[in-house]
Amino acid sequence: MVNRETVTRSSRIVFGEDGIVRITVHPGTEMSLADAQENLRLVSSAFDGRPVPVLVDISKIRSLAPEARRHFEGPESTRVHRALALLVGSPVARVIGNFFLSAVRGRVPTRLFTAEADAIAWLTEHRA
Amino acid sequence: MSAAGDELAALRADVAHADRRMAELLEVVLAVAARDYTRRADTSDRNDVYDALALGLNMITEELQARAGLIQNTLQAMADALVIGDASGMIVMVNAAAERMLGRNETFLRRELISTLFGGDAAGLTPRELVRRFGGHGGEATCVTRDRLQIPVSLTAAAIEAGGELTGIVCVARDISEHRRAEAERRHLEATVQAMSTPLIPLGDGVVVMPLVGTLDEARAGQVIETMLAGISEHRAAVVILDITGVVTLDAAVAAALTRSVRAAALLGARAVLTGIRPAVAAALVALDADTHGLDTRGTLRDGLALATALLRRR
Repeated sequence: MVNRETVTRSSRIVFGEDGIVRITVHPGTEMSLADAQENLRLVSSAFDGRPVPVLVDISKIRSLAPEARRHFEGPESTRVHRALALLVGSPVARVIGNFFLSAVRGRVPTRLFTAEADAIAWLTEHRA
Repeated sequence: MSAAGDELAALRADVAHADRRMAELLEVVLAVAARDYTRRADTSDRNDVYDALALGLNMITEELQARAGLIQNTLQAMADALVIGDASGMIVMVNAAAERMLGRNETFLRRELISTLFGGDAAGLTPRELVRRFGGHGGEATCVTRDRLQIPVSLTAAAIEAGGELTGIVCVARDISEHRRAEAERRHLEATVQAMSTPLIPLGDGVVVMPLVGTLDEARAGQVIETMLAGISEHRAAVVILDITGVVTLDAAVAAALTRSVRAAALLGARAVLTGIRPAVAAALVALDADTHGLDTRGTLRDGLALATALLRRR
């Protein structure tokens, strides 16, 4: 397992040695379809298409484009995420977090957290 | 300025900010209420509760816009004519197929009552009567076009209800002109095939010939008897020759029908002669122990004609 870090237009992605991927969305990001596609593609290729537990810190996100939402609702999201923990510190993040809860409902275990430690503990239970 | 003054100024600024943001949100809500899904609420870098409300409102509006577009595209892509009316029967929406079928645009149709679109039994019906008459599996009706043409349609009508009350009606009409034409053509073809399968040739001097071809089943044997009797009567025939050279097989029921035909011909004063019995058919008649009593048979049609001539001379 490699422990490396990648920075995209929208996020910083850390592929942890513990098998958990940590994505921190840059403050003020208006996430587009291209951003959503790039993030999912990077995670997928890093693990040869195997689903992995992912922590996404969206506490500073500003918005999520409709096309990006459609993409997260699609099959690619199910292929990439074994479990999805969302860090929601702001009212905006809670709105987007609730979108994710419905987008992948029944296909990917998803929960909202306000503390990273709690999120990591929950994701650890979902490692392969 | 004192600390209390600073605090008051900050509070006033907050209230002003809140008022402005709420006013912006209200503008979008008003647009959505008017079914204008193009307006979006502004968001800021504050990431505060107003931004969350704006984002949530935008997401809802985008969803409504996408769904409205999907529904509109689906309705417009339908091959069947769709007309939606309100509780009074006034048309509130039609799709492109309805405009094409009726030869009227939506602007014109929205001033009309749904009942004016239909002719025949459906003409002048109220929405409730339309639902009662054309609900479920629907039925056949006619649509009246701009040129007063009556187009036959398969019509289904469904009620739109809220709280048990009828609030509107959805009518879907499918043009069945082509289907009707194809059905008439099929019936005509069937009649032609039937006539060709039981041909009757009058030879002029009291003799008619029925050359039969193919497989004889009970239904076709019945048609043969029917045609034969009509032919005897029409042509005042004294002899009818049933030539079965072209008949491949027959069963017990058909053999019985042939003997019945002889008796039936006799009742009309005519003699029936069976010609062209192939070996396989002869074997079948024997195997079936068919009653051939009173049945004049000849091997060929030529011999049958000779017998007919002889019979006529004796009369």
